[in-house]
Amino acid sequence: MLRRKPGAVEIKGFGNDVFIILSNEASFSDIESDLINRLEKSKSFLAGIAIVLDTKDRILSLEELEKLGTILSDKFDLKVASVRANSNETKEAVEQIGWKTVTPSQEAEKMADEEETRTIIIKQTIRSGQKISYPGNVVIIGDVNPGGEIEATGDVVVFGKLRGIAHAGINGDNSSEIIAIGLSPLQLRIAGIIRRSPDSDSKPDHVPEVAKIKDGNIVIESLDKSRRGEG
Amino acid sequence: MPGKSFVITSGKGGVGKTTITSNLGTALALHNKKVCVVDADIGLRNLDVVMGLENRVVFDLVQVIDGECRLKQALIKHKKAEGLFLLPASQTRSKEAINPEQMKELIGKLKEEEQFDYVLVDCPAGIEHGFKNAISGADEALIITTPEVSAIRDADRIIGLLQAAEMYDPKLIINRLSLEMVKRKDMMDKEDIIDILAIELLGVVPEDEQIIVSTNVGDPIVFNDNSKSAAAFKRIARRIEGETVPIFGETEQEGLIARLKKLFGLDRKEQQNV
Repeated sequence: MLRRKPGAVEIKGFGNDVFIILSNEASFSDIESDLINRLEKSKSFLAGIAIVLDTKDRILSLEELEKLGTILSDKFDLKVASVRANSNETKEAVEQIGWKTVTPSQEAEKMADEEETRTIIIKQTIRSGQKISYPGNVVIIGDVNPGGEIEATGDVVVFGKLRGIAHAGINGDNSSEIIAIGLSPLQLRIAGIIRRSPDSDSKPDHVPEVAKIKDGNIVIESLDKSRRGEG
Repeated sequence: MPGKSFVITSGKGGVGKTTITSNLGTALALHNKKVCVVDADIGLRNLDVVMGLENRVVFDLVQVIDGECRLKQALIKHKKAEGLFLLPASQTRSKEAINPEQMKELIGKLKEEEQFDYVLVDCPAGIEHGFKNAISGADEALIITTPEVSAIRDADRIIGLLQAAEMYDPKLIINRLSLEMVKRKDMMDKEDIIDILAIELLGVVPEDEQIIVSTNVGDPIVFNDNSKSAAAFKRIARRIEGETVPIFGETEQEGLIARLKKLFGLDRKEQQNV
């Protein structure tokens, strides 16, 4: 459940920055279509944000860069804050357009590599007004109370009662899940989809449940049923 | 042994911080302790009113901090309870008139120089500057909530903010619990509240109409031997003193006696009205 197929484009968040990372191998047309595809899914919370375009070792022509810039600005209202490029040809083209270039620091690269498996474990109750944001998976040993919020680029797991708001896959990863021992949240958000709690809620809240995206909707299943279905 | 300071806080207004500060202070003073209740609600002073000491206020907390008077001059001795003192808030200044460091120093002085056993700080509602002032200098926090969703939500927020200020083990007082309504399932029970807030319960104060009378006349209810809420305050005071006392409504016997007492009290009142 934690593995993502690497596509032509990946969108990741680190701290306050959102990175759009281009694959080295994919064709440019794949990159174009995948970029549109992925941004479509997460545009609701990315709009207006300044992003960092990471071209890795890819050599991009002036024309290709302009195409990407048009997609980002015209279709999704995204601004390119800077471009990370290892190739000198790409760097030159970037400078011609007038974008800022940065050479990726080794630390940030390491972070990008580790992100998918990175998990933070928090042993405390998340109370009203407290918010946990993390690029990776979040495990809470404790409750998440109403008014508390969890945000993760990966999965959210609560070993306790989830009564606040959980948002898994904030960068648009549809395969993210929210799992809790007591799943009675005010709202669940996975990628760009939001589901609010039913207005009257009287279910017992100690059956472990999982929320995930199925056919474009967030569905909730008991954890063992869900796991049997997979196996 | 140096004294101990408590901040009485809730986030939400109107849940009974001031009433509990005045009654808990009185109950502790009746245990022969030297107690100072501090009104930290600068600009909206009313602890003095509730305690019936309004006409004795000459100097206030801000004047002490500004050095316009000595600490001793601002302390008002309670007329009935030996060892109970009030440090009133200023009504004309704003919460920004003091800062957390000054408040900390002041509470320290009350404990060390004035040798109070207990200092109870009545915190203003809200989570802004006034709250930050009130919690600085407190050794422990007492969280007040009523069995209402909004009050519990705010209490939860306050517990989080206290954690951020490195105050980790606040104790909970549930105010205005009606056993009758809990029985009819019209009100959250104390277990439901503790389940959400997950902190130690220090006491439960039952709903009591007489409290309104007592605050209006400025006479803490603790002096009224027939009141069930007074009994609850006295038990909380004993728990603060380190005794093990059952929580209100916890034992069948106690609940029964309280209910019988109430019936009796109500009967008498109705007769008087006739």
